[in-house]
Amino acid sequence: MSAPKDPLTHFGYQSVPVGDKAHKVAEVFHSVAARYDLMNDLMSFGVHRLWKRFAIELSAARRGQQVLDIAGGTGDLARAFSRIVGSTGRVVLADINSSMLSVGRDKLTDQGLVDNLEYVQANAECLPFANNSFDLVTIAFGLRNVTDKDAALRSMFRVLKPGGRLLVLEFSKPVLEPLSKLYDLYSFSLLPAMGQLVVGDADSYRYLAESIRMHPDQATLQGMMETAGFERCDYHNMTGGVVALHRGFKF
Amino acid sequence: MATLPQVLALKALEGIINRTLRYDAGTRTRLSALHGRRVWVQLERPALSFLIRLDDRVYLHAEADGRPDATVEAATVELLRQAVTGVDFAIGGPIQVRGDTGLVQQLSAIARDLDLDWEEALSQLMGDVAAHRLGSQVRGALSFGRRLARTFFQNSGEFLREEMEVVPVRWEVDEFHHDIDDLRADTDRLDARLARLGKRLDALESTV
Repeated sequence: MSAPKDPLTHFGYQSVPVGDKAHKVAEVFHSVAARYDLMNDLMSFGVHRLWKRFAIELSAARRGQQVLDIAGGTGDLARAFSRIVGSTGRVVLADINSSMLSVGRDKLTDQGLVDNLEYVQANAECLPFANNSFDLVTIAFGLRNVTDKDAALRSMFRVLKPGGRLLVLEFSKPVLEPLSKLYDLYSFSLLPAMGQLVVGDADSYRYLAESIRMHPDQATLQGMMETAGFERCDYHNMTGGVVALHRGFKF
Repeated sequence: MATLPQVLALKALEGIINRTLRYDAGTRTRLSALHGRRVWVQLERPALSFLIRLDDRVYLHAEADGRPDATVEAATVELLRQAVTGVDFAIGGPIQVRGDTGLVQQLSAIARDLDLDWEEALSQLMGDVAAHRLGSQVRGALSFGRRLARTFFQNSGEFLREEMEVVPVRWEVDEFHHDIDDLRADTDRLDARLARLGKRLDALESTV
């Protein structure tokens, strides 16, 4: 008698068993970790720094706060939050991928940011923190890689303090048709070629482009956040909707 | 609703103000007496509002957090500039102040004494935000964002480097340049290989 078929999920445009997705995503990020920042700059012409700047501003992070940065990888946001929350605050940089976490920890330590930073290897779907621990939870360009996004959103809700907020910064659906076509051309032709030349890995960047297309659009993600319990949810489109910043509060 | 161009414009202005303050200990001391105070500023043209928050330095936020100590409403940025640099700006008239009017007058006096060209500084808010509203959607998305980014980085490169560390440090830049050199070498090799293949193809075709 054959075993029951595993439920399938998407890995970019491929269909893979649910249990395999996390492993395949891990392979992608082990492969790209060392050149991650360089590729971000090349792919977005440096604009990703502005998107993150916007996210930091809308986070309303303040001195003394407890911040959790999920899928924080190479530490762009954690660095900013570390400076904002100061010595009376705390920033936890969580990432499921050990290579990304190592790169992030080395980077931040080399910049002398040590006091208020902690590094945790964790899965967003089941965060290893107590209820009501954080004033702010952020996840930048990480949610699209999570297998069970609803579980992750519920987990984030749980660890937030009442009054706390969630920020999701992620690629989304461009709002204009001509932009959309240009974006497709860019993602599916140029990106993998760049990936091959710069990091010797076209497949990972093809996965990147595909995973963006499989990610829920602006309104759908907002709905998912509301289902997870978040209130006063909204989103801001940036760069014509190529990237969106979603916010939600726990009351 | 806060937008990316607005936030960048506010951060650029914030950077200019704080950089000037760095070399003015006296003004910093006066400001420290106002530590924790918040003023909400609302402009009609361009439609822009922001929060001035005084803490370890001056912060300009796109959104309010809690109730401000005072609110300033002005029809245009020009009027705001006049309010900031005018000797005795009248409360009422084109500038409306609500709440702690003493705080606003103190801030105005401090701003006046700062060695800063306010017309120049406030133009950060004017040009960028106005251009965003006037431009087409796509322009407002890609090319504008990039132009703004360039201006932002040019104006606040130092601020970014020292305050936010968004700009890469020396070794990162060097490594980036090495990577670019490798990329260039790779593409040169690719070019050469394509040329060689092309010649071989021509040779093959000529024998057919």
